[in-house]
Amino acid sequence: MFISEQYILRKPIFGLYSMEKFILFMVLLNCALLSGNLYMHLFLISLISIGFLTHGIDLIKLLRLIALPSGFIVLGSISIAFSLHADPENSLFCFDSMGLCIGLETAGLHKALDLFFKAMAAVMALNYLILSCSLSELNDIGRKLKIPLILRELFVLTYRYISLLFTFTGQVHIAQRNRLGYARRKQSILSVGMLFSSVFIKSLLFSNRSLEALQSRGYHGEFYFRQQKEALRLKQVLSMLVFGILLLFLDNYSNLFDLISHI
Amino acid sequence: MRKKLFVLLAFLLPFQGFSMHIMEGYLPAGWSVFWTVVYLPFFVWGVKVIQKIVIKHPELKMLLALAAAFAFVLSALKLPSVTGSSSHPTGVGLGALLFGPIVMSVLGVLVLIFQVLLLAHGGITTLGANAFSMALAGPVVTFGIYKLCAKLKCNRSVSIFLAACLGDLTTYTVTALQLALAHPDTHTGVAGAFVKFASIFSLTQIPIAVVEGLITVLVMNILIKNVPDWEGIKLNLQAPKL
Repeated sequence: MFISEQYILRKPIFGLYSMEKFILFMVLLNCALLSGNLYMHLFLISLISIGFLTHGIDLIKLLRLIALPSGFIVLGSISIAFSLHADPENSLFCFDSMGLCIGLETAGLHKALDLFFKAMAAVMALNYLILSCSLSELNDIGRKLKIPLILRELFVLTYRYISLLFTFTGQVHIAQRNRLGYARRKQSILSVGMLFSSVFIKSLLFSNRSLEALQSRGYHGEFYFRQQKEALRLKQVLSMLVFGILLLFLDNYSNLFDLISHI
Repeated sequence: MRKKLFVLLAFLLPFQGFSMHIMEGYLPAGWSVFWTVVYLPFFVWGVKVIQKIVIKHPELKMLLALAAAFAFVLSALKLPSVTGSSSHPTGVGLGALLFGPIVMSVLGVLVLIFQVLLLAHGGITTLGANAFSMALAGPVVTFGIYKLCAKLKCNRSVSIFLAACLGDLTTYTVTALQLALAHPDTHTGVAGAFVKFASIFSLTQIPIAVVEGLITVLVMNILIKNVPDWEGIKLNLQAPKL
């Protein structure tokens, strides 16, 4: 169900610590967001894809991973590519509807394509963070970024409860399906309503029971987390920053990517 | 013309209701920062309220975490959509009615973060924009309409349906507006872009809003009937005494 369970990196990338992984994610993300060059985005997508392919994700899984965000990105790109008052002479095609000339202009298409690849590059950077960091590492990153304790506590607790509730939801859903609860549309709506309410009632029971369990173990309102004492390694951080700066420099101050586009 | 529309519909309908979340990299840096700054005061307010709740009642920490987990599980479940597509509820209506808009402003962010980390829907840089539409605008409208209907002494089921449905539609309208502001149309500007985004998302979102409204009515009615300490739980979460 979860992306980190479906797509598992079998080998760690560069053996980085949690905060170093976050810095690499930020470098990749900033390169994707600050660059307006299509070839830079394609380069980032390829680079991260190669990283995944060489660390235990096969091609089919990689394509599935890339296809995950396509719903929003394709819909958004279609909206940008089409114009409501298109110039018929400059349009690749257009049709009249309700007094509007809906058409696909070259400029709109270029803008949509640029945005599509920019978003894909950013999503691949995000996928790197998701697949390489465990929940405890993310909590550790939160601690180092000085995120308030209450939010980190809620974050960790929520994750634990999500797993419990998902198991319960799955069981109830199978039971409902076996009893033809989803055979008709009206029946489906009733079944989903019952499912949601039973999950909520179960949540309340879980909450009461876990509180009793915690109180019997001396809980007084605060959770303690095991802290990972991994200091940032200067060499790794510097090499990541230099890599990012170099990419942005090539993008802004040299015509390397333009040369590639000419080729 | 009709053929073209059918082709367009056939292409668009299979997309999931998760399309409400603005994906990573889709907003320019300036707009990402803007929406984060706009949302931040509400988030800080929500965190302070939650901190005060858990200082007084440490036992409610578990309930809050479960509320976030419940909202996440809700948003990951499939709805029987009228259009035949696979769609997911936003959980905005039910969340706001159960926990109130203040608590929802923080729980909503937690849910959005888990949707990014576990389902790869949404993004870190677009978190502010998504939170503004899903964890603030939607819940505030839902809660406001529910309270207004209660004042006007409307039927409870009708009030819940209107609140959940319109809250959901508000979320989608705000998302369309955020996208239109970030990517205005070359000829018609922000207004034209808003019409484009709103109409293309409405194909999936209007049916989802109606179904989510109906389901919220069912869930609320079952909960009110079956949870013994219902009013107490609602009061604890919705009306924290500062």
